[in-house]
Formats: sequence, structure tokens, C-alpha cells
Amino acid sequence: MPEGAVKDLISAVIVMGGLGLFLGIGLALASKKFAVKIDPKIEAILGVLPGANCAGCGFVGCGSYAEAIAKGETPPNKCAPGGATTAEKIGEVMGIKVEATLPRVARVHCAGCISADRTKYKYSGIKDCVSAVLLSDGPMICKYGCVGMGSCVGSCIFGAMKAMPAAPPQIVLEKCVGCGACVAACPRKLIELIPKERHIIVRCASRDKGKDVKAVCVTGCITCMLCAKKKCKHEAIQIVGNIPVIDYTKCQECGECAKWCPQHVILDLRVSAGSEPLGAKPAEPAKSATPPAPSATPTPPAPPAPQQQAQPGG
Amino acid sequence: MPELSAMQIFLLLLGAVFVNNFILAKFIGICPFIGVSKKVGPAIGMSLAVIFVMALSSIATWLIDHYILIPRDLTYLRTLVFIIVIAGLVQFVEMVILKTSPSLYKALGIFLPLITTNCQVLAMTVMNVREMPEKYAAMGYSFGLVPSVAHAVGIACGFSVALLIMAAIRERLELAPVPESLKGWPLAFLLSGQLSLAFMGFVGMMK
Repeated sequence: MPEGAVKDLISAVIVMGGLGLFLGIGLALASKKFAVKIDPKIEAILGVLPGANCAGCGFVGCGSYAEAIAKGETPPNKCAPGGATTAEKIGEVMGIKVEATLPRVARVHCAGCISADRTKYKYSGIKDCVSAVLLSDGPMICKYGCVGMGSCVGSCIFGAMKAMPAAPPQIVLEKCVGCGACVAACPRKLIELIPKERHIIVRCASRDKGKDVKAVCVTGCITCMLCAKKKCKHEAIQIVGNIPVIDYTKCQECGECAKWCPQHVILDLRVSAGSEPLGAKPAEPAKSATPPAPSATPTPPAPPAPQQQAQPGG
Repeated sequence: MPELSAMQIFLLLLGAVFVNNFILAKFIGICPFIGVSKKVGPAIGMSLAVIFVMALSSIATWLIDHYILIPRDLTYLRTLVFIIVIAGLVQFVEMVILKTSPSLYKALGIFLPLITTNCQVLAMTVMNVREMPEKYAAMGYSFGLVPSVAHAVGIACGFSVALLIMAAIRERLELAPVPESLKGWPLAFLLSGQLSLAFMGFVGMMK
């Protein structure tokens, strides 16, 4: 081998080897010198959390929630998807006793029909509830009800919301973990997290007086006060802003309010499946004791046909 | 040979941003351009990280090239040496940032390892020691450390401009009624083609 080539080879090996050695040792030393201590609890908590990153706890994701728990800044029972078992496990890691919160699910406070008949103008913008509501309170004639663009459906990362034709989205109970993403997504604030084992729900959010509600919706609350004044024996219902509000700590789930509600605004989920539009509701329990209150209900302006049929006394 | 004047360095930087845009005119560094351009927020983080790493590695590699490789006649090792130097440097900087400034680490942290082995950083360093000195030597100038850094920053800014334009357009398109078959990647590719066509219009404005 010529002498020049050997010299080239040696200097190349020296430069590459030296550089590699220098960088390797340098990085090893640097990693020691600049080591950042991480609380081992964070890792442990992160391992217990479901890792869905749903942000239902109010933090960016499971990582930042774990960090906050480890620092003791927040209680460990805020994880909705994990529920009681996760809270308990985090409590073990942290060495504290944890009171688990009841599992909750999302419920929509609207049962209105979303069809072209009930619009005041033709909306052709972005298919998004927030945008739609910006335009003169949305295309629907009811300014409190669901606009049906499906912002909540898009916000749900668990696939627990099902967009329905001509009705507010339906919640798939088995999939809903109660993270509250849809609650934040709804510009009308129609969605609320309600304890999972509770079956009495209110399906209207209209603050208007009965007459005005009648004019725009066949299924809205007309504020007859029947539920709050007469039917509820447990003082669990209060009329706030012209709609009934159920206090779930007092409600005994007797179902009287749902049975007598002339508009089927209050619904007993043990009797009826839930989020379907009112027209599909089996009317047997109500029929057996048809309330006399709205006997001569005038036909509301252009209601969709199936709903009209199920209207008691209508 | 005389050094470049301040005006010439400025024009070099401007040329690297618009005329010789790495992504839209030279097609280098396409992966982050497509990958990180879905939202403006991450795109800004990525842009800052690229500018930072580019400036740093242009200094490091220029020094190594001039004081180690050229005197020993080892310029054929450039690619190899530059890769490990850039990777080592970025790793080191990541550690230092994590220790000294957690807030800066949150902004840049996840993007730094991504750039470690990015092709544009390597392409920039190799251009700085091979093509640019030749080009300026023909014009009678020497291409020193300052123009190298200016060139690197210009390239990084060019990348940032392209990335931010792309991210802003794609963010708007998320809400647009796009035909089903064009949603996502197909539209991104069509868009980058059109952006590239637009930037090709700058070619010839500067030598």
C-alpha cells in the first residue's frame, strides 16, 4: 500500500474516531450534569390513567394532569373515563384516600325537530354550530334549541355521540365517559353531565314563555308548572328561567313528573329510550292517564308530521 | 480575497428566503413541510426550532470544516462528520434547554429531536462549505463564517415562510366543503405544487 494512502487512512480514522469519542463522552457527561429530576410518582400516575387525553379533567392531557396530581395541585378524582377505579389507584400511588365521583354521562337538553320547516333562513356556511349561531342566533326558529350542525359529535373522541337526522345528537351510553368535551363544544349550552344512574331528564332549554315556545316548537316546555308545583313530592324540581331544573340530590326517581308532563319535556329513560325526537316516544304511560291540561292544543305552525301524531290531545 | 459586504450578505439572506426557497424551489425538507403543517401553532414551534438549529449547526460545521477537515485534507468525510456533529449538538442543546428553560423546552422541545437528522440541515451545511464558497470565489469573494450563518438563517426563514403559508391554508381548508376524494393528503400535495409554482416566479430576480 502506498505511504500516502496509509497516512490518509490513519488521519481519517483519528478524526472520525476522535469526534465520535468526544461527542459520546461529551453527551454522557452532559446528560449527568444537566439531568432533570422527574418525580417517579408522575410516571406511576401516568401508568394508571387511561391515556385517552380527552382533557375532561381540565388539563391538556393525561400527562399534565398526572404532573398536577403529583404536585398535589388537584384532586385525583377528576378523570371521567377512568372513574372510581382509576381514582383509587392514583390514591394508592399518592398515599391518600380518594373520594370517587359518580360516573356521569352527557345529556342533551333539547328534543326539538331539526328540519327545514323550522328554519328562518337557509344557512349555507360552514357546517359548525358555533359559526351557525353567530348568524342572527342560528338558522332554527328556536333560539335556545339544537342547531344540528354536529359540533358536539365532532368534539367527541370516544364516538359516543351519534348525529341524528332531524333531531339533536343521540348519546351512546356505553361509550360516553362523561369527559365533557361536548358540553364545551355546544354554543347553546344544551349538554349537561348527569349522573349515569339517573333516568329523569329535561329535554328543553327554552327560556321563553309558554306561548312563544308553542309558536316555534311542538316539543318545548310551555312552563305549565305541573311538575314543580303538583307532581313532584320531593321538591326536586324548580322552575328556573321558564324551564324545570331537576335537583338530582333530591330526586327519588318516582317518575311522576315524566308521566304527567304534557309536552314530554321531562322524560323517564326507564320508560322511553331517550334522545330520539319526541314523535318516536311510546306514548302508553302518558296515554293511560292523559293529562287534561293542554286538551285543546292548537296545531303549531308547520310542525313535522310524525311529531304531530304523538302530540297528546293534539 | 475580500469579505462580502453587509448589503451582499442581506441579499444572500433574502435570496435564500424567497428565490432559492429550500422547500418550494429546491424540494429539500418536504417531510416536516407536509407533516407539521396541519395547524399554525405547531408550525410556528417547528419554524423557530429550525431557525435555531440551522444557525447553531452552521457555526459548528463551518468551524469543524475550516479547522479540522480542510487542513488535514479530509473534506470527503464532510457528510459523515456533519451528520454526527449536528446530531450530537442538537442532543446537547436539548438537554441544556430542558435544564435551564422549561418554558422554552415546552415550545421547542418536541421539535428538536425531529430536526436532528433532517435533510435540510445537512444540505445547508454541505452547501455552505462546498457550493457557496465556489460560487463566491468565482465572483472574487471569500465565503466566511458570517455569510454562512446568514445563509443558514435565510434558508430556515424560507422554510418557516413556506410552512406557515401552508399551515394557514390547510387550517382554513379544514372547514371548507372539499370533495371527499381530495380531503387530507391529496389536497396538501396539490397545494404544495401550486405554492411551489408561485415561488418559482421569484427565480431570476436575484443571481
